[in-house]
Amino acid sequence: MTWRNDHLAYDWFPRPLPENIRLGPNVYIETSYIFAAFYSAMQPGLEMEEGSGAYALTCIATGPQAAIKVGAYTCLNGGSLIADDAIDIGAHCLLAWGSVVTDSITPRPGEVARRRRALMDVANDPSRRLPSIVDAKPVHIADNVWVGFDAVITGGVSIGRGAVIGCKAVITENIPQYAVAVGNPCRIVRYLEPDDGEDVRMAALGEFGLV
Amino acid sequence: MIVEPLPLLTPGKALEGDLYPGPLPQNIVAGENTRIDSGACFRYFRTKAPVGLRTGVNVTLWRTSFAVEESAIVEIGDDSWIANASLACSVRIVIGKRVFIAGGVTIADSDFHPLTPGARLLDSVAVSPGGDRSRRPLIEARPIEIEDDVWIGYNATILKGVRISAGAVIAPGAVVTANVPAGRTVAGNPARIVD
Repeated sequence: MTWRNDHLAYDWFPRPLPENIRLGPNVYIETSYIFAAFYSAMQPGLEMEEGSGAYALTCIATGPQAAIKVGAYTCLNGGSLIADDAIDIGAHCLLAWGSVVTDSITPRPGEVARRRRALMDVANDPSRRLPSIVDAKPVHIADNVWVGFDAVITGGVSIGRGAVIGCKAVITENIPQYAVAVGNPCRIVRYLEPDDGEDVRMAALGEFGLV
Repeated sequence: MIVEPLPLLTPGKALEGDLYPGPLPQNIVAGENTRIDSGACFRYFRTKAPVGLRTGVNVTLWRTSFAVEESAIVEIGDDSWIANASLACSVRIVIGKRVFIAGGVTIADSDFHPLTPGARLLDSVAVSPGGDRSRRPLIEARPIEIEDDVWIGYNATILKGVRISAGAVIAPGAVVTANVPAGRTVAGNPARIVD
């Protein structure tokens, strides 16, 4: 796979793409505004494999030590990926508008001293990059997962292959493969037939002349 | 990595380098070192109050949408940090010090429309192209108060009349319809105390 970084013939937002992102062939990036709060200093801070895309008002926001991976043919359609540590999204995933995948862990009310300190420290940074205000734990989303609009997936969660996360669901625990998880608090309402074998995937790519 | 400063909030003047045209509203009082990313935040800032938005010192506003009606007022305390939240204010929204508000949050102090079906027939006509928005039926609104050191997670919703007391945590996705006691966590839709 060759990595390219020259995707934007036209951009309404007047910044270059970050130099530490690796984009595979046929990757779509709509605008560098997607990276307005991307502060990763990792090499690379983001990898997007072939055929994946970040559309519309997708937001990829990171602290300095975060690394994000997005698999082949995954569609980021206006949601947010927010990381201080790591987010790993597999291939063929669909993430809808308003969805949030974050490696942040919801704080306990008693941890107020840490939050106070972080908020008072950020005043000294003219760029207002929020220091680590809560703990972060990597998120792992397997291949072929569909995340519905406005859903939230929080730190430390693993979502199994083929799962579906309903719109506006809030996921704070691991979701098994092929599960359909909905609601807030979330519950699993059914399991899907695992009919997404490698033969089916090859046929799909072949359908469009991509193999 | 590109690191650009957020402009200081300058009432009555455009922000330097802003892609959004035009000056910021005049009726804002911003405490020292308050920074904001774009005048686009005030696209729907229609309040005629003498001070429609008042911020303390060191406040950070990043893609925050201030839809403030008529004579409504928004106040934000020192060291608070607000990402792309939607503040829809028709009476009053008061936010304390050191409050963190994540992306996707909606804070709305009114119902936007009346409840009863008959009044909604009238409202749908009043807001239509042939209607008159100054003659809408009564819409219930109650001020929102968020006290110091509150943490509000992604995609949460805070509805009218809610008081969130000091140090409380609003979990991501929570829909808050009732007061939250100090130092507790609420989660779920509707929000319930979980910690």
